[in-house]
Amino acid sequence: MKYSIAHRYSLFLAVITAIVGCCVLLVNLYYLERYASESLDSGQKQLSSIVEKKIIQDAELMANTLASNLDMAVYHDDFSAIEEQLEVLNNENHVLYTYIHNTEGTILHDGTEKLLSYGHPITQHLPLETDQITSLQTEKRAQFIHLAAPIQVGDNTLAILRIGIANEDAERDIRNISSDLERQATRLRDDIIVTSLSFISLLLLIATVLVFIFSQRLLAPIKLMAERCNRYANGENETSFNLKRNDEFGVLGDALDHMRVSVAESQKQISELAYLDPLTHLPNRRMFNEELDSLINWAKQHEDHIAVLFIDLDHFKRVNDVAGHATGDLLLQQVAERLSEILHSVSERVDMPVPENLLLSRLGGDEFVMMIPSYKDNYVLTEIAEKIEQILDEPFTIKGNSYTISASVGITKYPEHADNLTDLIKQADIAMYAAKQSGRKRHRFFEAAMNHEIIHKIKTIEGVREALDQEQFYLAYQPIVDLKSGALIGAEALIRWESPERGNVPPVSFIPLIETTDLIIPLTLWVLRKACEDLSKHILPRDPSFKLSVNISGAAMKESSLCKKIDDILQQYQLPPHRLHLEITETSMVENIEQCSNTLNQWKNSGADIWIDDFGTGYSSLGYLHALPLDGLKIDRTFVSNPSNKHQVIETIVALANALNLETIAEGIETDEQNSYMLTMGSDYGQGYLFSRPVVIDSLLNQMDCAIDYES
Amino acid sequence: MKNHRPVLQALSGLIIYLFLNALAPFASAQTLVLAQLSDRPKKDYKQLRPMAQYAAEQLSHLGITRGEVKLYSEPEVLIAAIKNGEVDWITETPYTASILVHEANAQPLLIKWKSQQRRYQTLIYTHKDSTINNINDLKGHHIAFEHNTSFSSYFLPRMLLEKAGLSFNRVTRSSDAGAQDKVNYLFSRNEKNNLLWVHKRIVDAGALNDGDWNNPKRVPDSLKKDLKIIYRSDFYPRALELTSPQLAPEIREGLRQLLLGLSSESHTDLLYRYEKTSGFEEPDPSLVDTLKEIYTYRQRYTQ
Repeated sequence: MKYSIAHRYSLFLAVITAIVGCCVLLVNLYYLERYASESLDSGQKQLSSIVEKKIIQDAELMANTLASNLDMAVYHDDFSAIEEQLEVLNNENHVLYTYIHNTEGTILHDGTEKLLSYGHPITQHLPLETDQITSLQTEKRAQFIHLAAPIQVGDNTLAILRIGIANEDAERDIRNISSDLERQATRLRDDIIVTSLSFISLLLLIATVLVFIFSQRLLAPIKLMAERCNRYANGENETSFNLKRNDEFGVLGDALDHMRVSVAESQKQISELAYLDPLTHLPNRRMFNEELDSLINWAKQHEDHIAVLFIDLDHFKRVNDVAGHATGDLLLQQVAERLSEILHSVSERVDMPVPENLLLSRLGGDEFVMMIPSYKDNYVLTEIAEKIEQILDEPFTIKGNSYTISASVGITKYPEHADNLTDLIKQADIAMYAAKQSGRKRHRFFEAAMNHEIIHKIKTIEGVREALDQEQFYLAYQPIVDLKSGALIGAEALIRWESPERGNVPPVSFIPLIETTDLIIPLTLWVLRKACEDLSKHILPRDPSFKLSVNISGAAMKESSLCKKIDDILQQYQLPPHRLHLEITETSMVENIEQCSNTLNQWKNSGADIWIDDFGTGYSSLGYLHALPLDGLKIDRTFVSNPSNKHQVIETIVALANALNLETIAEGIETDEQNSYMLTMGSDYGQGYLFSRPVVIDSLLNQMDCAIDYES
Repeated sequence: MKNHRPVLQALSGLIIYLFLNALAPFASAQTLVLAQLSDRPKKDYKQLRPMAQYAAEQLSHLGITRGEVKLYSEPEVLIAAIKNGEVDWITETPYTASILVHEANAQPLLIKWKSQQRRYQTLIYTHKDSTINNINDLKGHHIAFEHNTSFSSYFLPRMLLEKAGLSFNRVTRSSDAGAQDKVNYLFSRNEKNNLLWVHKRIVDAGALNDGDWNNPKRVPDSLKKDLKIIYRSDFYPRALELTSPQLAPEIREGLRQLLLGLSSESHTDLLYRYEKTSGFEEPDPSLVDTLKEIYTYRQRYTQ
């Protein structure tokens, strides 16, 4: 955690507190300052007015006293006595002047020894108007106080004493006092700033610590939650997020706990999908492999035995074909149940090292495997196998219909037959095939000398599956020529298997075998997709009228899913019409003519032409020729190779084709004689070693290029 | 019995008086008493005492053991004291001296050069632009004298002007109209007022002695330039030393010799403190006449 919320929260609050504190301090200081200056101002004014009043009072008292003392001196013109009295005043610094004048305003005395202004009008020396000569009003002008007091004898006013006093000293004193007060206010303000700042800092520190502690406490549940999340992430799946709190964290904890349970649930589902067969809920091939592997390890450690029973249903395909896949699936579920019952009865007698439900798996299709660890002897295994045969031999009732199948069981044993997973499965499979070969509904223990052919077949099937995965197949193209002109007009795509172990494997050695298994479907689709790709990418750009034939296995015709997938491929490549020929054997068509017609129409609609392969060898029915949307017939090579004694058949076939407006191709033309004969017979096109062996795409493209050069 | 008591008392008093008188020469020989009329006793005592003590010391060979100062506020008391023999030596103005000589038989001893003046004269002055140019012009005008005990600024000028034929009328204030055929006079209380009154034309003329007039502190030049002198009197002694008629002649002679022997050079401090005296001299024979004249006029004023 780079920046803890607690830290940020504390810092944020500290900053806010500091700002608020400083604002309060500033406001307080502002008002303090204002209060100080206002009270200083008003204090100074008040003080000034009080002092001034007092000074005036004192001065008036003094003036009056002096005036009353001067009466006789003035009366007698006793200048020296007057001077003596006034001298006292004049010695004071703040006395500006002293004058005694008569009621006419003539100066009688000016306080000096020489009396220089004697006899002058007082208005010459003082700012007095004529009508103010007898005014006794005390006046304050600027910093000066002007006083007047009457000098009387009885009620008769002899003269007026005028004194001027400067108020400067008092004003200066007041200013000094004010500046003292101001200094004190400044000191007080400084004290307040220092004290307040210290106080704010202290409060800030305390607040920050408290907020930090508070937020730590507040955030403690989040830390706890994070810790539990980490534990959960590290694999402690049972970690509970429930904090047993009634607040928001409690709600969050409950929500996380709910999520944890949901995740666990979906994990379980995912793991079931990965390890369980969705149809029967038995372990699938992957889980079987893992379980068998761990069981082998266990057996190695305990020097114990394991038997692997490979169970394959007989005639299950027929149920699928006849009653449909849904019924087949229900049947498989019932098979699984019955086998589980057997296992249950076995486990009651044998002490199993693993849970019973891990011992029975469905590998796919109609193949089941059962593992029997710690069996006592072969007899026990035989008993189990027989029980399996017996129990699966009993009819299955599905949706009111009764279906009968049987099972063949192959048994192999660890460590007697093999000590590893792969070999054990292979051997059990072989043993099962052996059982099937020997007449179905029986079981066989694996033997090292078991029928080589079976092994070969199995190896072939495994090889084809591997070849599909590892792209060992490729297509060879045998050109088809116009018999009249000899021009190359098309080719037939033929599958080739280049096995790293077995070299070039001829199709005849694996196609018939594959056609008995589900592998025919992916193989057919591969051939079609590859042919369409070559056609659209390489061939049609060179010769837009080129026709490419692809064989569709009859076995494939039975799989409705395959028909759809073929149509999907045709749709995908969007080839021009009549450029792709799908060749189908007569036999496969005849088996379900109605369904076949729909499928073929669909393909035709997608732009493919439909040809019958190996025409004349199957159970031909002229009726279907008319019913199906056919474009041509391929005359089987057996007729071509021995035309002499089959010429009537060939003639009939060609005539039939002409009558039905179908084109014909003669297969297996190897000699000029055959060529000319087929031409004579009226066959349109031919193919065979005479013209070209099947070649790789590059050679075909070369031939096409040559033909084009030749033509041009 | 009752009738005899006052007689007995008078007799016994007489006996005591005679006895004391018989002892007097011896008693006065012991203490030399210097006396003066004074309205400022403190100041005057300070001024006289050092001289009294000095003289007593110097005359110890004549049996004098100590010197003493006695001050009197009334001339009559001083006269009585002189007559009683309580006072041996008096220092006074010619005016007071004339009284003491005539009423207490005091004997003039020496002329004292007081306040740096051997003699002085009275000046009568007016404002420079005044129409009064001689003493006869003073008739119908106001003149200010200092006060009624002043010799130079009242007694002497009045005596001289009266001798010249002028008569005087006393007014209390300068604003009083006064008599047209007489010289109207009033008192200015001191020489400062006297000067200012003339200068400010409150009165028409004033009288001061030449000592004050010539002292710039008393009569500053700035004022003096606005004034003019219309009359100067003869010179008169500034002060006199007198002795009691009962003082033994040898002591009187001793004192006379002693004082004459003092000069500003030899006894600066002593003389200065003794009313700023600068020396002593033998009186003229005319002094008697002068004192008599003064005494005569005094009699007229006080009647």
